[in-house]
Amino acid sequence: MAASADGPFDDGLQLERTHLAWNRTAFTLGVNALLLVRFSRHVHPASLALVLAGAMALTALAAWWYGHAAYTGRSATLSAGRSVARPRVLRAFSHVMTALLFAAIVIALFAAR
Amino acid sequence: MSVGRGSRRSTRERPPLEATGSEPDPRFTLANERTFLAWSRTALALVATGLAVVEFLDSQSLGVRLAIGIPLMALGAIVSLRTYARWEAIERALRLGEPLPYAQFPRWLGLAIAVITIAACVMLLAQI
Repeated sequence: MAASADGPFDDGLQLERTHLAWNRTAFTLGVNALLLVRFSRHVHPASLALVLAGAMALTALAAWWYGHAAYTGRSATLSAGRSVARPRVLRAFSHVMTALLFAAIVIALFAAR
Repeated sequence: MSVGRGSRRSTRERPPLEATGSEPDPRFTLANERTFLAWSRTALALVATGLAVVEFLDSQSLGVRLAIGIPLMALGAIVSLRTYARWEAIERALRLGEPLPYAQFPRWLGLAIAVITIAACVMLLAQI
């Protein structure tokens, strides 16, 4: 499926679908950030929830940016016959998101006090 | 999320992914990445639902809302905890030409969601 001088760009639309998947993930992160902002009124101090919401929004931005950058970057990678796997990126994203979600639980427990 | 019987070595014992096997068809790698993102969105959706229950279920006391919302959020965090391990297990299987590891987690996730939903219904009905 590599793009080449003779072949089509993004044969099979794999890169485009992956790009869209990153966009959807960024969007879902953004929705969670907005919900946390709304949720902050139950938490004292509210700044705890707002800081977490900000971190989540930044992660959403990073996910959107990576999806966009990888879309064009990976087409060149494929043309050169190199690997498209990005284990470090996925591992970092997974760790950050897991930390944010566990922090959201802690924030919710603050609301129970 | 089970990573398969053939992948029970600890992370420190396994060679780096880049040094394992051979490069698979990039379509499979990208499909694996999309599956990783789908699991991430599942985790985020569970947490969002938990937050939404606490925030918008105004007819119920805060205690009831938290009793429904926090287990959903915890489930989302647990799902997120295993997303990368699942991605790496599949990527290794692809690189080694092995069968993909069977995932038991979807079964347990469905069961957990059903239990939380039923418990939530019971709690809400008890308020009537």
